[in-house]
Amino acid sequence: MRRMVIVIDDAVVSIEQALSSVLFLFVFLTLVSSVFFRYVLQSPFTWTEELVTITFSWVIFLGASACLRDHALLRVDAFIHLLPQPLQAVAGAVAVGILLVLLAMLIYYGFTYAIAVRGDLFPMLRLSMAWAALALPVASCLAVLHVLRLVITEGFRRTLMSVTEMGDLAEQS
Amino acid sequence: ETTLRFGHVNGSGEIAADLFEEFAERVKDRTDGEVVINVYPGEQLGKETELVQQAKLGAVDITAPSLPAASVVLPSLEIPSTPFLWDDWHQARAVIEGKAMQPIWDELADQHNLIPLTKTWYWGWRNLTTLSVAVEQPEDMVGLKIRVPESPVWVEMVNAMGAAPTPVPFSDVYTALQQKTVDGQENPIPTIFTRRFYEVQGNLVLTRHMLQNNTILINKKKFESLEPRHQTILMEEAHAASARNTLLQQAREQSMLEQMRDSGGITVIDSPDRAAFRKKTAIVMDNLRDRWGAENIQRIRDEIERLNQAM
Amino acid sequence: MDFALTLQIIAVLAALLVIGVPIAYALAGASIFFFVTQDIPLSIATQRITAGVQSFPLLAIPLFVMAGALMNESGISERLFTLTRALVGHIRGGLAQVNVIASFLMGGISGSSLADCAATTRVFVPQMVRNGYDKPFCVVLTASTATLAPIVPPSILMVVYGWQANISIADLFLGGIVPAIVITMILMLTVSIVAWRHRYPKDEAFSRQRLTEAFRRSTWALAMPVLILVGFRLGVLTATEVAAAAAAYAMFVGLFIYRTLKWTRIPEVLKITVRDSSAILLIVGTSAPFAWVMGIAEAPQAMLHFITGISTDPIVVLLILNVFLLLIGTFMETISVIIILIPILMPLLETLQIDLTHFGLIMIFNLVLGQLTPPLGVLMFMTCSIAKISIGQFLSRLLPFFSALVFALIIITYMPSLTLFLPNLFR
Ligand code: NA
Ligand code: NA
Repeated sequence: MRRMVIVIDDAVVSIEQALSSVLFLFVFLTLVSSVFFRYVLQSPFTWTEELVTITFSWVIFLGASACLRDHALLRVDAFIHLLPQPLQAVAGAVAVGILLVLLAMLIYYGFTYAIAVRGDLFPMLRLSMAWAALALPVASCLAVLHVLRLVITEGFRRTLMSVTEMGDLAEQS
Repeated sequence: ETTLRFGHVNGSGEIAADLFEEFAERVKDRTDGEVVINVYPGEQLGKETELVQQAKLGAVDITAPSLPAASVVLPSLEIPSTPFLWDDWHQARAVIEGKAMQPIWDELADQHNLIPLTKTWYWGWRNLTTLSVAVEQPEDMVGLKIRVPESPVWVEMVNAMGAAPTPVPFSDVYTALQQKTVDGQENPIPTIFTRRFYEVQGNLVLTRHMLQNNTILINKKKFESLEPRHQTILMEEAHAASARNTLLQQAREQSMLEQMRDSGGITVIDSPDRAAFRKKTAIVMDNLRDRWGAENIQRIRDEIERLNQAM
Repeated sequence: MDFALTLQIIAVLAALLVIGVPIAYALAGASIFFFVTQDIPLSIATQRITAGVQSFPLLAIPLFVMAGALMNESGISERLFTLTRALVGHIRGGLAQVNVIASFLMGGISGSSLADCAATTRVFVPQMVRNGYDKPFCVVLTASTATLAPIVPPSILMVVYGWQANISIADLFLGGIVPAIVITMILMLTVSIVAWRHRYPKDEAFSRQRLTEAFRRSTWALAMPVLILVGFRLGVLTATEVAAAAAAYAMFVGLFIYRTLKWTRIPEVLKITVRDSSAILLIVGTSAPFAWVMGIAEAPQAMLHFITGISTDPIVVLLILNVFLLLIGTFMETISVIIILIPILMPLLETLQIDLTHFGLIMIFNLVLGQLTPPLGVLMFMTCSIAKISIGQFLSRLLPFFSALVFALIIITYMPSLTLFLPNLFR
């Protein structure tokens, strides 16, 4: 079980990173070519903003999910570190519990919203607005997996720690 | 006591913002405080289309989008924004509130949970501004980059006029005009005035190419949960506000135009060749037939025809 | 609505932050709490988060992060810094002074503090650290100087303010120039004092030969800011596209001119870019439902009502407003504050005959200062996240710069002519 979670989680985080990188490259190339088409060829694209902002929401939410797994999300650590170590683990468990509840809500209501707007179309591309709305709940599902994996491999105390906190701890020890 | 949330995008300095406040006060007075409307202006709760979705799902109860913004849930609501469709405001109002548009409003209520408190809210005729080219004829527009919202009616229209439709997000329009990224833009007079576009443009061409009509929509479930007498008061007050708005906004349109004319910074071109523009842009409606529905288009065309013959 | 509700939401946010929930999710949690208690459809909370990042101008942030990463990879940064060292290295704290000036110039291109900061953090912090500065100082400096971006025209905040307050945006743009110079000078003075006290490094004496050599080596690198600025002013590029152009140019020079950038490095650059920007943009996203909630709860109005009414003396009122805006700016996103507050403040400002252009500068600067401090300090988050230092380290070095900026704010507030001189000249 533990082994399987780790294998799946490693695979998922690689996919998140690769996919968000490729999508961001696509955003970048679209913007560069839109300048070229507007200024050099004098025939502007009429759908850049739609395409780019839809893609961008996937970049951000997938990227942020990978950040959670890599301890790259920021948190306020000042108060936690005032506690003795065993209590830090308790606080960590509470925070992880709250986070999982929040993620569950974002997943459930994110899909609810995507279903609600599935008939609404982006005017130029005629694409369903669900395509943009799905990024948050899908990425939140993956984030749940990352949280579980971190709890299993690193324990409650370290699950939500940021890289800087971990660096500080390494220095102290 | 019922509290309704009314989110809209108009800012202070726009008549609509004041009238929506007044609407809320009058509803409160007439219902003896039983219906309280909290008004949230100026995009603080979201953009126009997002507010329509919020009203549909019940996060806000009332919103006041333009018809093209409301078309995010129902594209046929865009039909009244067809370029050069109307002879004047009276004709437009008669058709938008009449039976030719009714099936579209019914679909909005049945499929999208939104009921119009008022179907018309005069915003103004959209006009063209350019930096340096004094446009009189469609031919003058060849090669110009005209800022448009990312929306098919505008793209088709500006293409038909012979210029290059260039989408720029609304927040960047002022800077894009100032840096000459685009050669011009098009908007109603009150928008050109309050968003200060005339500061960075040389010509204001009174093409009056498109009517901008807004509407006030309310969440259907919420509306039906109100007592019938309260429903009536809401409807009456929305209509009264709309009527006051038409008078005030048309007067304001005129005085803003005169202020811009007097500012000396911008040349007003009063009579471009509208007939030539109308002819050029006639294909827009045909090109958007799939989006709007052939039946809807036909009903509205027939109605306009009928009104013209009755005159 | 009532003040108690606002306090509840802020209390929930504080509790989530204290227990160590990541900032982005703490903001989401505080808003979700409100949605649940007020019985508002929760799917709209997810709409706000998605809409929060679906904004075209926001794209400038990752694009500038990428431009910065590419400048480092391709050696453009290194050459530019060699040149700057040859130019000002003999002055104590010279590189830090360059950081201030670079932010002023960046402000002339970018309309937002976050975009400015995204570009400068990645370039300046490593170079300054390599030259013997301590990292927290570099990070605080970079974040503090980024407050110049919305004061130097063009500025997204000024466009929003001009629309809401119904005044000329051109006047606001002109009005920002002198205050921006004042802020720059005050920051440079602060840098000198801090550099002197901390004995920051300085190179051997100035050498013309070294300068010529460095200049020759960095022609392509120097052309970058020039080309981009020209491209923007000539209207080739929109404000957001400037960021894409910067990245494209750095990539081009690295791959084909200097040949220091290998194609195989591009995936890594993309990965870094996405990581650095999504951590901060998730916060931008989840602060959108928070702003929505604050709007519905009429929190700013309630606070304003609580605070004003103490005095009718313009000097005192301006002081109170400054304190109030600074407070509001610490936990709300800037654009929402402008949109919500201006209609409410207008009558007050008119009674007191405070010029709206002048007040615009005061308000915008105030709100940007709020981006430097907890709880919702996006500039602080951004730089800490990119440079990998903790918020505690950041705060421990913030005081001198924050005081300097507050001092600048006081000067701008009580010397209206600084702001109004240029607009009046061109009226
Ligand atoms: Na700027
Ligand atoms: Na800086």
